[in-house]
Amino acid sequence: MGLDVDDATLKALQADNFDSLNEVVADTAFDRHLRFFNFGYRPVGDEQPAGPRLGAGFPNQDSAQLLFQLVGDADLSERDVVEIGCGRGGNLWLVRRTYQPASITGIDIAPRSIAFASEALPEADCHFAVGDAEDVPLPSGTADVVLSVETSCTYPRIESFFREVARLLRPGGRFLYTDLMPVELVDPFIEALGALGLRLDHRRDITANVSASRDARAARQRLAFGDRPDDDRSTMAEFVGESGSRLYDLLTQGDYQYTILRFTKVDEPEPSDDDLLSPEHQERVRHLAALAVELLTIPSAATPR
Amino acid sequence: MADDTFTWVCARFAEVLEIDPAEITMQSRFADDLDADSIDLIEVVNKAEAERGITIEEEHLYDIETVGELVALLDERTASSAG
Ligand SMILES: C[S@@+](CC[C@H](N)C(=O)[O-])C[C@H]1O[C@@H](n2cnc3c(N)ncnc32)[C@H](O)[C@@H]1O
Repeated sequence: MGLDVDDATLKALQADNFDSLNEVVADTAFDRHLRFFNFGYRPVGDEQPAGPRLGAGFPNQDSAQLLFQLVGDADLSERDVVEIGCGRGGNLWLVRRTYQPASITGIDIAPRSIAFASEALPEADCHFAVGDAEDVPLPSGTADVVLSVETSCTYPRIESFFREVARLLRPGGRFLYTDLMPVELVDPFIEALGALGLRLDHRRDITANVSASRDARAARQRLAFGDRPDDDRSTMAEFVGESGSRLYDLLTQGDYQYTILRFTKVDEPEPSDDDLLSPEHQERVRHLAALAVELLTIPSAATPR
Repeated sequence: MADDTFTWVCARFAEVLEIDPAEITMQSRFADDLDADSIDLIEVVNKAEAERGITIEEEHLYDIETVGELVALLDERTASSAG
């Protein structure tokens, strides 16, 4: 996968990758229990977990913990909560169980993930739709809270996504954002969002917690995906961030930080087409998006395009 | 019935966790005592569903902490599907 393909192709390929992951999971006994596709968060040292205590049978405690850490002190009750890149809807499902929001809305580019989420959450206050984070099919000013969990690193033009977040949020709304970010891009991302009227409230490097989750859980999670052809196994190792995978290396070797950022929309600046990121940083973003597509392509499922 | 179910649950967890079934008691806590996680629990529940022709709603698994609670849940589902 080079950088020679256009953005639309990169996004379509990434949608295929996650659709394929849904198919792999559908062949296992874990399908209906698997609501999250993220690396999770594990408290380290004598750190206490955040949020309500969950029983041993709760599927994917580390992903639940990532959400609780991300939400922090943000108030979600009676709010309209939108998640962009929602996957199978796990975060929104847990938001609904935990915080009593007014409504939840999830957008994802992979149709099979959206199908799973819609079926799992058929209630009237739950909405899911296929859509692109860089061109979200929702009206302006519809969200009190926008969530983004481990998805933005695959967007080829992330500043379009930032503009969409600012557009969707009502004044005073919160943007709760976490992902693996190139270290040198964390400040530029915060500045870009600042230029869109979003004030940073909280910033935390959680790389150690996310790697602790991968060390503890990844191998076991990959086994749960069943007995795959050899070529698929290394891709499954990427999806779960197992030690030895490229994504695990990115996470642990210092060039990337898994970061939590919380913002409040304090301003509604005049719309402008000025670039929010330097060409060099934009290039870095695109490079990461292309790499993510390449690493997450399941060989036995890949269809020539 | 609880005795049979307990023996069955112990045998399944012994397989999944590769431990001695004698180490498991009704009071054993999945996370703290057996080092079992939700994937292990789901594996055993899937087997119970297949063998007994019962369905366990996911919701009922979330609060489970001990072997005794799982045994009670399986017995309750088995009784209600038979009745
Ligand atoms: C690692 S998963 C995270 C899913 C979910 N947020 C969670 O925590 O379980 C990344 C998700 O981003 C979605 N995605 C990737 N590119 C996207 C885009 N351009 N627009 C919307 N969703 C996208 C993928 O389909 C996938 O569901």
